[in-house]
Amino acid sequence: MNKYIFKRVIGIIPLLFAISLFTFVFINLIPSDPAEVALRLNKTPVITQELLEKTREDLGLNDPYWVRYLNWVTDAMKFDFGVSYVRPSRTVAQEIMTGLPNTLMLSGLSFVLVIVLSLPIGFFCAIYKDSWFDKLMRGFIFITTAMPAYWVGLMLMWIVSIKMALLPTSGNYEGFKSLILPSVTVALTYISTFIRLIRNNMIENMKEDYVLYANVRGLKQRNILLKHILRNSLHTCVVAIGMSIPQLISGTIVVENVFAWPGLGTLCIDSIFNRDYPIIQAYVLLIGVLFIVFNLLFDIIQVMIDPKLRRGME
Amino acid sequence: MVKRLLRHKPAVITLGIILFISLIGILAPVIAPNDPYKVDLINKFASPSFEMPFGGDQLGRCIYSRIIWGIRPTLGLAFITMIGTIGLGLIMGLIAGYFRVCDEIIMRIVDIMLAFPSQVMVFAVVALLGIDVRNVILANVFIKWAWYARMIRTNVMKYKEKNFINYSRVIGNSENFILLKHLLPSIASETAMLASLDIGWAIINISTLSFLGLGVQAPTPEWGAMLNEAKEVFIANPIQIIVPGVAIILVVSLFNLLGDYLRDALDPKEVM
Amino acid sequence: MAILDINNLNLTFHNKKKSTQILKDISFRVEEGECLCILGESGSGKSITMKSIMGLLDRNFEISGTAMFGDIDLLSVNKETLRKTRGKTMTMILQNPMVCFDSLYRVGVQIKETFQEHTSWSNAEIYNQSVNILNKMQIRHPEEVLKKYPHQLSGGMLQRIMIGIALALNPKILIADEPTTAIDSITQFEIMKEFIRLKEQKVTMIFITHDLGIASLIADRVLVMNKGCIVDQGSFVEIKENPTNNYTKQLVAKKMAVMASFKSIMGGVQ
Repeated sequence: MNKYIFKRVIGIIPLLFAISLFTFVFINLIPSDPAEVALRLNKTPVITQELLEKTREDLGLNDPYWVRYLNWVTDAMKFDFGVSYVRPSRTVAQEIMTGLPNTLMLSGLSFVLVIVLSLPIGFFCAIYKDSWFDKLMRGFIFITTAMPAYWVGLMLMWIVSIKMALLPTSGNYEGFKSLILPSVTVALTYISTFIRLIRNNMIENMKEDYVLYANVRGLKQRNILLKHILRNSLHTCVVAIGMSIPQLISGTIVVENVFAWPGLGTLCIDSIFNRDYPIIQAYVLLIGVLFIVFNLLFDIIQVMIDPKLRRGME
Repeated sequence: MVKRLLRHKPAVITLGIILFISLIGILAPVIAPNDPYKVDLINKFASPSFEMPFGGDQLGRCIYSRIIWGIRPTLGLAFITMIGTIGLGLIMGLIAGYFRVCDEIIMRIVDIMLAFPSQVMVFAVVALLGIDVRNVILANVFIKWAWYARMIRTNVMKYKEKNFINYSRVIGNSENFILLKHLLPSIASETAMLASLDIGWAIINISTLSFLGLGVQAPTPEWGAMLNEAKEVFIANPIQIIVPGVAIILVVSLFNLLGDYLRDALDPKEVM
Repeated sequence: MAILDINNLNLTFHNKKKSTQILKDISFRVEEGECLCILGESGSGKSITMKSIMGLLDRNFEISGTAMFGDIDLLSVNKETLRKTRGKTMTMILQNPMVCFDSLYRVGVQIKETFQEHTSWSNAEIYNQSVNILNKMQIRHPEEVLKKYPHQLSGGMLQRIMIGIALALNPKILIADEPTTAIDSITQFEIMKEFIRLKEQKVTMIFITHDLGIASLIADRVLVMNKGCIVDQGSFVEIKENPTNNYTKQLVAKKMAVMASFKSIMGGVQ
């Protein structure tokens, strides 16, 4: 088991290398001269050619690429991404840390909503396959997959906040109330995938021989469904669910913008407009690392909860 | 494959509707009653009328005409994205699977591409290249090609071992002939099916970027860009968000439906 | 006295597009203490006959006829009664032991849940009984085996556990659905010895197989099925010597050679 975990952890190193290389290349491809930016940030009145040369030397921009990459990686590990181009008084880390709690709150609530809703819905769709409920839900899934998240957000805002005046339209000024609409929107765009996942998985499991044998032994339908079929389906779904967590975190990007939610997504889009490259870079790196880590984590969890795989490892 | 498809009535009907919508887009200058760009402040938020079936927007432009003209960029950009994606995926897939050149390297790259959060990658690429429609397409191709490359490679490997290909080689047909006459037609059907499923995805993605102001720019009547303009004024004129939104849902649904039907017609396994 | 009496069992499968008749006018009886062998190729309707009387088919199947088990009609009785019958007075052994147990639970837990369903035994009694049936099935270290997950045990072992569970509650009838098909031939031989022992103990059995050789070892009476119909029935010797039906003739002729060699091997042991 420990050997397996060790092997998996080693396995993510190339991925981490790739994502860091991507972001490093990214920051170096941008069509602006970091030295010039740095000088402007220091409010240097006249930028001369010599001054630029000197700054380049000071910032290590004349070093070979691999030296710069190593320096950059070491800084990134310390969560040091320099300062924002647009608001030089704030470091990139500060900006990220301001947005992160909001984004985590939003994706956290969405995740809870998705799980709480899609589990029972998928469960009942599978048990009552082809019933009116199942058909209704399939229709719902069909429509929601075709709906762009931002449009769902706009419609909810219009109906719930403006027509019914129940919730605030945007921003994060009213605590939990402000959180509801954005998270419902995010949840709506992910829920169909989950319902489908759980439903189809359960239906697949129902065809398995162990269910037939449980029936042969005269077990109660409820026990078979909850103890055997549901548990087996959840085991197969757990990886998909775990890996969707970073997807939820990055998926808030659009919805945050619709509701002017002060999270990472809004920060990222604003930075794209402002060409605030260090922030975009840090954001991409952060989400990339999150993806890799969650992938790893849930791969390991899957092995740990499945007796078949677990024993195979020992 | 085409024959099997034509026998599947719902697929033919869906395809017909999609072609019809495309035709409306092509004939937009003839069909649209008004100039989609003509600013006419008298008609600001005009209510629906015979001249303007959906009324006017914040600049008094005819929403109906803008929707019709919007078919062109919305569908067109999605098509271009898919052609680019499949093209790149096909080339990479063939290089890896058929010619076996740098197979290992290409597949490693594909693995890495597939491991990354595509949604964030799109934004990163657009940020890097600058805000422009072309870059949005490039970004979408960039995040999606790997998926097709892997699929095409798998298919190529599968067909390469088939007897009719071996036979063709034995009777002395050139590799080019085999590739063009046998291999490509064989993998075309599956690829076409997957592509039609992904057009819906491309439409949503491109319109999302346009909505955020990173893609098609106002005043071009792309549906996402229309929604971007509408988000400032929808309290006064909600029809401006309803109409383009419904248009997107309708078209995306049609493509999703087509994809389901194609899978149904070509591979009669149970699908949800 | 007939334990099970099936009359005019018809089974139709309804699909969105069409309906297919799967079983046609199936009628037969199983007497107490006898072993009835149902013989037929795969797809001839052997297993599904058993599934339909045990109520294991879904709503897409339409069943008609009667199946008297003691004084209850299995085809019209309510689901709850049928469920309580299953696994207690009417038990079944399936053909693929490796996939019949839920891989997430230890074997002991799965034995326990069966007993909990049909008895009011305490945990200690259940545990003793579990050890007991494993002992009876000649499984070594039963305490250890109960703690294992299904994939840690061999197919033969799981098959014996399945037989053990089926016999634990002294059923009136035991249905064995090709219990030897999915396991290797050495284990097959072991399992067949188990069944011969049961036959000697006068356990009422329905034994489903496509193998005439296996049938010859165990059958008191044979029922031949083809395409959803019973085409022939009688004692094993009758069927072998004087098949009335063309299909049976074919089947017997085809299996004769195989059977001869099989018998010579098995005969040597008995």
